[in-house]
Amino acid sequence: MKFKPLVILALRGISGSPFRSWLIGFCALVIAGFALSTVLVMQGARNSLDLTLTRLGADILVVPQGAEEQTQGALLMGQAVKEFMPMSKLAEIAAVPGVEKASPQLYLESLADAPCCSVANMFMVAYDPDTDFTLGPWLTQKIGRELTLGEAVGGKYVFVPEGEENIELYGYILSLESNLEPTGTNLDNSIFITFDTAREMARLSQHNAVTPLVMPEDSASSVLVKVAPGYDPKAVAVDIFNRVEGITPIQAPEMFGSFRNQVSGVLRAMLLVLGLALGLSLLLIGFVFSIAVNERRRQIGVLRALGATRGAVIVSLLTEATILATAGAVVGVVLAAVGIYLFRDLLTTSLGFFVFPSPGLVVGLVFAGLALAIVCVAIAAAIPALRISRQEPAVSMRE
Amino acid sequence: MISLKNINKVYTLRDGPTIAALNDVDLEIGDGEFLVIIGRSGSGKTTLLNVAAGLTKPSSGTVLVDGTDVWSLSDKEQSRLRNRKLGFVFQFPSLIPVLSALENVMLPVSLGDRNGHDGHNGDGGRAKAVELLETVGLGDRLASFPRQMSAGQQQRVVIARALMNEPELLFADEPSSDLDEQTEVEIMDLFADIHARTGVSIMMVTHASQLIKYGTRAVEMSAGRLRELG
Repeated sequence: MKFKPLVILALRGISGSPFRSWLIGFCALVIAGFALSTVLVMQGARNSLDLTLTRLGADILVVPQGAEEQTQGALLMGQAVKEFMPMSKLAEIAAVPGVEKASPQLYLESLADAPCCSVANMFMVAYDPDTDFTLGPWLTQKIGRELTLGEAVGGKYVFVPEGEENIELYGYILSLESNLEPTGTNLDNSIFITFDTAREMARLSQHNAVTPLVMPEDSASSVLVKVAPGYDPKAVAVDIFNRVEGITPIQAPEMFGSFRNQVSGVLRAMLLVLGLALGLSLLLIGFVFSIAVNERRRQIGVLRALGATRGAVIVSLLTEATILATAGAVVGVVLAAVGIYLFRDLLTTSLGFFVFPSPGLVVGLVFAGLALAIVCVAIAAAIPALRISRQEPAVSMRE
Repeated sequence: MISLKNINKVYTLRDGPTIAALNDVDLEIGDGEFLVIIGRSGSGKTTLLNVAAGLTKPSSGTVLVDGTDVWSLSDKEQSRLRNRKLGFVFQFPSLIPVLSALENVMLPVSLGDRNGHDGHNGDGGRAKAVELLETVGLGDRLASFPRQMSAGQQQRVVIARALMNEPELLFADEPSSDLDEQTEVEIMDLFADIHARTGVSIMMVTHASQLIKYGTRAVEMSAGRLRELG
């Protein structure tokens, strides 16, 4: 049995029924495009959360009791934080067995329409360079030193306004030394300064700014904790909770739990829609193919009479289905990938956290989307193909 | 060549009753015979042709082609048998609409399995197909599609296709019933010419008694039973 004539028959069959072919191709487009979109959004959200965790660099995030949601909301979406803990908690936390490093951060302000930010709200974070273990290593790698007074690093969307040399906030001049890699979260809108710089800014803002910067005295919004090797982070977290009053430790894997749940909820809905779209597409393809096969019943009977085996009939029909599925799926995955990429910033705004997955992963997912669509279409087409192949040629040719 | 013994074919209708299309039929078709089977509509002649050609399985009885029981073969073996030894001319337009005349005639070679050799000098049967189309008077219509040809022209292409693999037996089911009188004569003359030149056995079923004269032997089919005509 030669393959080329079957392919020619399949291609001619496609061109002979343009509406039907378009319909099957469109179903494949929907399956592949929707599947890829769903997975890209899922993976992008996960990427963002994981990158944020990596950026935080902490095994445990200690926050004021009752401020768990607020703090995570601040990190992810720039929501204002009203709860603080006394700086004295830092020493208590650092003294807990298993805590290798502990460093405070203060979430200062959520500035609306800051001129140095390409998004609506800029988030200011003060950190302690003496105890810091997250930004420090990155700064050393990037600029070869720690930040000094009057210097800042910004997230992806923080920049020096055009025509200016520095950023001015609350009447205080800041030198933007570098920008962090994107996380797809509010950290991309954040500007990081040392506690000393923050205090100086707050002090000078009393005279220089229209609205002075309010910096809570001797307070921290969170304490980032690095667990010593050989210690179980969960056990250390429990220990911190038991030994230090008025705080809640959140382990890194559980961080952003409510947001992960929100995302999971959205994604479950997307998966449900995907499942429905898949089911409906399969039914439609099966129906359309059944009609096509029925219309070609006599033709198939003739081919069988001329010497085509059952296998050849199935191969011919499935080749037609596969060609249509591939064409539709290619368009679908391209539209999905390009669309998600072009609208990635909108997704970040809508979801609160999204980072477009790496090129390698996207390529892998594209092929997976293609495979899914092709397999689904082939399965839907296989049923009528198998049925007609089993018919006696004389039965197929009967009027 | 072909031997049918004790053939019965019973159809069961959807609502229950059965119809005996063939009743204990015995038939032999020898090499080089041109057998004409006449009968009214519903007499069972098409069913007989389909059983003899291996296109439908009899309810009971045996069908032997060159001594081989057709229904003991696998689907692949049956397909190979039909492809290599049998040719078909059907009553209905049986050209593949999306293939040209030339491609339709080459189809038996395309569908065949000759262990990598197409038996036609490696050109996929193109030269032979062109020759056959010229023989049936359609040498100038190689690239035409069925929708671009008349019924008579289409039937000529079907005949050319049926001869592509040099079959030993040609089955023709009412080959001229949809044609006008003049075209019918042309088609039947073509059959006669092919039979005379190549010696291919022909089994033709028809309701038109005037076509008996083209055969070397005639039988009548009535209510599923055969009767030799003198």
